[in-house]
Amino acid sequence: MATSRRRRRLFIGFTGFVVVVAFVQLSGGVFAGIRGAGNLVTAPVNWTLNLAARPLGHFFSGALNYSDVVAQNRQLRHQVGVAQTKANRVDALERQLRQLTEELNVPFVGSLPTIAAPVTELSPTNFVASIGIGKGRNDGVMVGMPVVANGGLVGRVVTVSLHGATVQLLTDASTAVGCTYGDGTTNVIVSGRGLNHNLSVTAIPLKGSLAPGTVFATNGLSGGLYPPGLPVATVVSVKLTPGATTYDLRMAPVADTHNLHYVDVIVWEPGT
Amino acid sequence: MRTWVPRVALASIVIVAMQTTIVSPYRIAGIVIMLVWLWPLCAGLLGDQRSGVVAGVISGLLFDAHVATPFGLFAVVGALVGYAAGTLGREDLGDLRGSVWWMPLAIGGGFGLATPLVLVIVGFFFGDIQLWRGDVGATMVVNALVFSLLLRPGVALARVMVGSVNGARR
Repeated sequence: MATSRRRRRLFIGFTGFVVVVAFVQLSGGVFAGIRGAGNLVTAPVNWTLNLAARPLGHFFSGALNYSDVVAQNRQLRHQVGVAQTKANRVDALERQLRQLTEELNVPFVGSLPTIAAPVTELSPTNFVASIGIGKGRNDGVMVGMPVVANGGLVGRVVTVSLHGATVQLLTDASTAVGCTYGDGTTNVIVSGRGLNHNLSVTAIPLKGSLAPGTVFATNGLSGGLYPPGLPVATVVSVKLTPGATTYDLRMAPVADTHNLHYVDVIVWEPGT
Repeated sequence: MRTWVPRVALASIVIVAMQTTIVSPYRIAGIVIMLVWLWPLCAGLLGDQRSGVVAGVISGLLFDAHVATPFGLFAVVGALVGYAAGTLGREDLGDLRGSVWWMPLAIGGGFGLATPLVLVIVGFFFGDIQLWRGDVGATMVVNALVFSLLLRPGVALARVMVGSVNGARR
């Protein structure tokens, strides 16, 4: 008897909890507050654990992967040289592009201010591709702002607290970005398919040429979530199936979303 | 105020911090081990439904603050895991010290397999219909394996962290 009463009480309590959570979810304001409070509660323990665990992790991974690190270092030196050469060429093109976009009255991302932020967390679960960053409302970060790193779009800010924010990555299954490529006449939607998967893209008719290495950038259409010109995805491989009327593409994000240490939040809000 | 509640709350804070700082960045075959689900499982087995639900709700809410899923989703899933584990705990099935060798493997494996599916189903009611894309199958398999291996030491560690839970017979 007593057990059944207890079970009933637990059931009622649990149902009440679900109702409260649903209400909080719908209200939005309280929800952001609770998120911020939750972050604040775990922050000191996170910091302490990080302080203790990082040197140990570095010691073991350094000891085990030394030869890999040396090889990577050589490769990176070469890549820096190549990138420097490209950057010098791009500088000139960028100046030209800025002049053209100013004439067309289109906001060019190179002229938008950014907020540099350290990455504090990398996707804490497989069910959502997100990162935590160490800059929040106090630093001018707002929900909806695009985030870039490693040469391309990384995602956008979805929740923000006083001193931190959560960024939904490009690879998240619920992310969709309006893009264009080549001469800019074809608009497509590039979407995420989950943390460990490539990106997908809406059907592209077999006209013109599309080769591996082609970069898709945000189209910046009116009302879109991103300013124009942010590199989003690159074509990894193109498969042409006999009889098909569209390309079968394998796409990957331009930015390496698995190795993020610092990101730039672009001070740009959707609709501006 | 029950004395075990603050201890469970404090342990939950440490568990979530460990999850986000140490466990999540180091994956097995790209899959995150979900300590935030193992914790209410251990707390439930150690005590009863109340300890399981309290551990699941607190760790879930704190974890919700770190992810971009609908707020409260992990708290509800944690509560369900804790309640189910607590039911086993009350039936003395959770007393792993005197159990047959395969009991922790079965309980850990079962919860590891079921919880990701529960998250996807509950997520649907929260309005997130994309969670099934989050490597559900691989998450089920990896977490089932890890839970079945870590359940016995996990319960022992939980016993050290929170002591005896009110209502538990151990």
